[in-house]
Amino acid sequence: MFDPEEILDRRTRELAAPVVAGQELRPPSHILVSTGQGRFAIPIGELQGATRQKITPVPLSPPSWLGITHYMESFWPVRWLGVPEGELEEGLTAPYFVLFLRGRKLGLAVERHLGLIALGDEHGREDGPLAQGLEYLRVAWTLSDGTLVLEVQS
Amino acid sequence: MKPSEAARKQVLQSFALEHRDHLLRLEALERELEQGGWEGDRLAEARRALHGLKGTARLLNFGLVEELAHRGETLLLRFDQLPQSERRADWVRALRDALEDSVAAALQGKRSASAERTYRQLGDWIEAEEEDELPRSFEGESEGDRQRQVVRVQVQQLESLIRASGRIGTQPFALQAGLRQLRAQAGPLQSSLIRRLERLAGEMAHSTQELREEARQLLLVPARDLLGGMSSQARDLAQSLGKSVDFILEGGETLVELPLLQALLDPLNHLLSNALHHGLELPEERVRQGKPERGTVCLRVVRLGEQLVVQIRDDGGGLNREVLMERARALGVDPELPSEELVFVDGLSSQSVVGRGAGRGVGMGAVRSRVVELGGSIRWSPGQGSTWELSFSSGAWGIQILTVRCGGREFALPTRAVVRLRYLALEEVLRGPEGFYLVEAGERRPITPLSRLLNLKEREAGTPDRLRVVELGLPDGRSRLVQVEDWLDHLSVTLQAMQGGGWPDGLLEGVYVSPGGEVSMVLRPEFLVQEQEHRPGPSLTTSPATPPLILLVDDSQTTRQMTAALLQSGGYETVEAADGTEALSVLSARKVALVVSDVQMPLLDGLGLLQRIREREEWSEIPVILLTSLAAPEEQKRGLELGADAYLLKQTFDHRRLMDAIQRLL
Repeated sequence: MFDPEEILDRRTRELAAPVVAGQELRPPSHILVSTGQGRFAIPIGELQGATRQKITPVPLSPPSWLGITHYMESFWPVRWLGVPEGELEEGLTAPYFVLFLRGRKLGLAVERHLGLIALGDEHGREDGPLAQGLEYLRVAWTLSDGTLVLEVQS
Repeated sequence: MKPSEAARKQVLQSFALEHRDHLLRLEALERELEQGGWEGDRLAEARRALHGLKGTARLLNFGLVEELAHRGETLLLRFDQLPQSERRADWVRALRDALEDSVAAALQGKRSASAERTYRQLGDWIEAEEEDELPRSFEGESEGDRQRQVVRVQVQQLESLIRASGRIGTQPFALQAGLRQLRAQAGPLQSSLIRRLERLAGEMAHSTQELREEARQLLLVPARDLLGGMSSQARDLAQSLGKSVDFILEGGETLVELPLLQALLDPLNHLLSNALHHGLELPEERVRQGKPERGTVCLRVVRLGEQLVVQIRDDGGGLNREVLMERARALGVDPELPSEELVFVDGLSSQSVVGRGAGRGVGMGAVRSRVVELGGSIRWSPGQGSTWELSFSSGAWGIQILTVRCGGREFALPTRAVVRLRYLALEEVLRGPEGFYLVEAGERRPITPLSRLLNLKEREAGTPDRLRVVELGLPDGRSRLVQVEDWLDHLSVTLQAMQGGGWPDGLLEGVYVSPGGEVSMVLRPEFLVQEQEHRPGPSLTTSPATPPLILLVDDSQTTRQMTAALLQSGGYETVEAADGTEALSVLSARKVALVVSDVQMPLLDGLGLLQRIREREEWSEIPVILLTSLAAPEEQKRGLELGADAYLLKQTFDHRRLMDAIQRLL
């Protein structure tokens, strides 16, 4: 039986790097990514997909917005999860790794994806907003290596 | 090579305006006749108007309009011989009404039974020999159209067909581009084959565009079919609220895509319900305020170019700004927001907006979201009551666009707002400290680089010889000259609305996937017309080859536009003049390569103009083509004797003959 959800989940896993050592026993729950502002872990269940995409910049946008991309027969606005350092080039940008948030019609661009990780809910909740304009992404807790574990508010 | 569909649409719009001028002449004659007399001058003016209308209708293939105008001319020629002189005003009125009906019908690709009836009556009055068949009402009408068979098709299937044809539509362009690249690397033998394939791909592109347009037509239904029921709904609801209302549907015959109409029912019902619940006052209150006891809600559906506008207005109490602000404060919303924004804030309950326990804003945020989802926009404007205006581009079903280059990137503009493309030599413009200007009709019009409106880096390419300028115009009369690096293509694409990005509201009309597979943006002309420039400094474009400039002289704007569109599609630049004297001014100011002129014109006619051209040494070598409806051999002989290089008849107008003649003479 064809199950698009299963295929999307599998594609997300395949696109990411191998599972981080020591996490093999539990199914991965988060994708690890990095931006100019650090490392982040985002729940896989909140994503419709994650892939490298070409992005067309839109004039007059603030620097935190990369532009528009066409993914799964639909157009998505894409913004940075964390703005990289340096000035962006004009014109069609090189493909970026984009996380497509489920139910929010929004793509989040990151500089690198680092793999999948299995995390429980054993840590205390910090529950702070990630950044201005990204209020729906909240920091659930911080891992010992400084990785911010995010949750997506509905 | 034929003028594009967009150019034809523009010509039709001009004709829609121009024919009114002609009808005004008839109306003037009619008024005089009603007052018991008429002057020869007025009669001559009316005949001339009919002649002009006939010529233009012929060019547009509006057979019934042409024949009506012809019979009208005959009627006026025999005016003093006609019996029943007291009925002359009636005849002119009938003729005017018939012309108006036939033009309106022809513009919509329909027939007008009343105009056809008058056509036959006119035949009786002037004792014309009756023809077996009526003339065609519009281009493309045939017997088959008249006896169209009907089949039932699921709307969903039609939608799929349109979208599928939209996807196919871009592929031949990509194929063409690929073949062009291939040809650059191929030997002479292969080149010839590839060139043929390119032509084939071009024809495929054209055919798929036609296919989509045809499929789109199948979805159109008169607005009345779905919105007509709102009348009884309004009456019943008003009655249940103890109110009386007259519901008026204007533009019920406007053709709208069925799925859009269906999707609009909910938002419109919401607006109607708001108007009745919260807008209209109770009868006694209205009487107390000096208003008619019955309220009015008017729903108007109209097409403005590629835009569909649906307006719902009432003559109720309207919105109270003070109460809106008070409620906004309570909700923690900035009360200084303009009323146009506050009305859409979620949570502005009805009770709080207007006094007397009534209000607006209930669910208006949801209505706006729905309208935006459908690719449209909604705005509220105050007045005696309230007016809500919903606008939709035809984007979801195919929109005509012009693609341009700016800052090294490609953008698109809807052709509905492109008044014309101008290819201006530096001698024609002025250069000020902030950039280029065009002085026109005594007005100084800045030419703004698109790159400055979009805050893009301008490309350094040396001083240009000419500027490529897109003249944008809006229905409200605002306009702007926008300079681009190049104009690239004219396409029909399927648009999707784009929401949620960090760019300014209103910047994008929508997005589509270009033939090259990239996401491309269609910019909203309304935004570009009002946007401030972002950077000073003149923009520089590359220096293109200069196309020959052809002067078109005709007192009919429609004929000029139609010929201009044809010539521009053939790579010529055009400049227009409405009569011989205006043409002489153009010849003095511009380097004209060839003149195409009508003969019958006010002030200085075509033969007079030809004579002046041949007399003056610096113009004497300019080729002149006379394009006229004067078919008599002696008239043709006279034109050629005066030095015309070609004499073409409008009656047998064929765009290929005109293009051939121009190519031969240049």
